[in-house]
Amino acid sequence: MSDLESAYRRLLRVYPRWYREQRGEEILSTLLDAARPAQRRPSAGEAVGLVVHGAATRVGVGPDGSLAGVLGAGASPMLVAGGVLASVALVLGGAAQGGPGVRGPGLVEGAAGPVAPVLYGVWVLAVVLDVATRQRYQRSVVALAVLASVIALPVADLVGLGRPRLFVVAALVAFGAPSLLRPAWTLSHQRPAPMLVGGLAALAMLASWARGARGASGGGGRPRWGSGSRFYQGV
Amino acid sequence: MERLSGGRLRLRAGTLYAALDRLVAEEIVEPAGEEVVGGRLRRYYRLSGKGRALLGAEAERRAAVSGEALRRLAARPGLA
Repeated sequence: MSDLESAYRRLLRVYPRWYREQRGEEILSTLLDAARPAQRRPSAGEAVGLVVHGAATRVGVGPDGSLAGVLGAGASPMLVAGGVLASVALVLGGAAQGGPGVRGPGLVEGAAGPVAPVLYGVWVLAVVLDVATRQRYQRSVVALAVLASVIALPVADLVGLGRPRLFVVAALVAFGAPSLLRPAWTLSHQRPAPMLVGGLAALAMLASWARGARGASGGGGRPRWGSGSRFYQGV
Repeated sequence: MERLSGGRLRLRAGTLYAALDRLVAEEIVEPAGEEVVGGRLRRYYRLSGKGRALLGAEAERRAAVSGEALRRLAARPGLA
């Protein structure tokens, strides 16, 4: 192995392993084919280009580091966070119900009913489908989930049963937004680490909410989220 | 690329593969086989049907703009 090839291989280590397995040898061949006959080491321009592209690929912000790339990188972790939030809301929604005159931050307002559980179920299903189909139908399933979120509140008001909390619905829509806004070319690799971070962030958010809920129900503390909001306190 | 552009455009490998990743993801280009030459992997790409249509439309648009510019310059030679 020549000094030049060794130097290129060292630079290619900036790329994540999964990318090197797909493209490493191909890029190395291109670099060596384009090298000058007497070239002993990479030029500064080559080194910078490989490091920038490799680092961008490693952190998942897309090939040009643009907003589109950032949206693409954030879409899956955010969607997983939405899935965790919806799962917890689905499981605890009934238990954490805040009826009229009830002090505390229930995940569902008013009398128990089907609207909120169905909405949370749609979100859970959307996230499961996204992971299972490796993002193939991401835009479609998230669009349906966001549409369900938008119509859930007026429908719940109409039937008067199980109105989901506005802050939960708003958070779910926010978590789904990057999946709808990102360009198709950012659909690429699903990395487990950022998705895990997204799930843990949602759990941390819920833990913070639960602490606020305990404080509110005890009468002595103040909830951390939406304190004073009619949606938070129960209508 | 450098030869085709008369030396005006020089594409580094990092930039080239960033663009290639995007073009493949958008299905504008597609893999067209690979071979091992001198112990090195070479992978080839070609325009897809979608890419051909896009490139044709863009080339026609640019040709129309260039044609209009040349027509206006010819009509008012004093500006050239």
